[in-house]
Amino acid sequence: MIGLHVDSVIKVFGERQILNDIFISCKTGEITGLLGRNGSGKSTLLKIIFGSIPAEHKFVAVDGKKVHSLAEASGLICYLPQQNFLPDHVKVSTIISCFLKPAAANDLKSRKIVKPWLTQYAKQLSGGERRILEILLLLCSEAAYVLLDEPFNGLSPINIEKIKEIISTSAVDKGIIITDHDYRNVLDIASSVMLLKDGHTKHIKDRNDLVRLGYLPA
Amino acid sequence: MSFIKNKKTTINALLIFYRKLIVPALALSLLLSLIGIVPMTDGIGISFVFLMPMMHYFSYEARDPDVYYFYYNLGLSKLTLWVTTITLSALTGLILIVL
Repeated sequence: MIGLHVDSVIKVFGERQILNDIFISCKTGEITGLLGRNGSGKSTLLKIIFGSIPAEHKFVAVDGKKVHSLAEASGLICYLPQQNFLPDHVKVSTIISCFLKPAAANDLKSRKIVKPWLTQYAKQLSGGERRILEILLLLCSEAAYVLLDEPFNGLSPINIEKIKEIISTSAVDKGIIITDHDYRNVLDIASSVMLLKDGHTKHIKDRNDLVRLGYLPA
Repeated sequence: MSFIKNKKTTINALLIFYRKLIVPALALSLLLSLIGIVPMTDGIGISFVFLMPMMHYFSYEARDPDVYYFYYNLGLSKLTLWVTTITLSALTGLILIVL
């Protein structure tokens, strides 16, 4: 079983079952787009795969090795939350050195886009710069699978284009699952698309499927 | 080598996590004893034992819970961080009381 394999995910909030026997998979070199309406459970699903929240039932395996917890996912799966997650009281250079192996850290520090930020604290960066740095950190990490939860949230068009380019370039040796309400940008870079509806994932072939399934207006 | 690297990463991540907590907790403990709210001798250590977890709660749980994901991505769970906070505050508090 090569790749990230997620199966039989069940999650209940109160009396509402938001994820019902979910299946999703991703291989290195692939970008899987995950679409769904507000409250459909996209973020919850990504957090369950990552291991930061529990599920009533789940099966998550990376290259055939079952992943039970956050600690086991470390180095295999990483997750970008919707909000900025970098600690604001340390310099960017320190964050990069802590997050990445020395070779990857040096490589990232030498990139033209990152160099001006190295001596700054994370809180001194703009929202867009922080988002780009966070995505670069995750994509340069040793984890083979990266879960991106609304990476385009609140960004200007120029930053969205930069992030799309970074994600597409990195997808060569990583498997990426991406979710965002900006469905056009997801469709632009995704190699396959799933729609999360009524607690189930449905494979999407084209835009017409999104209309037929009620995600887009006719 | 991988094990050593993981240990190094964990220690570096914990240093970043506690950099935000230890100095303010220690400074506030000293201040409380200087203005006489707690006794000068044992008071610093005792107040540190309580202030450090309080700083953890207000800095990370209440004010900035998303920062936890930085540590999650490095393999540190919330439970691990809380256990480390309680252990660190108890040990440091004990050292301050003994001194």
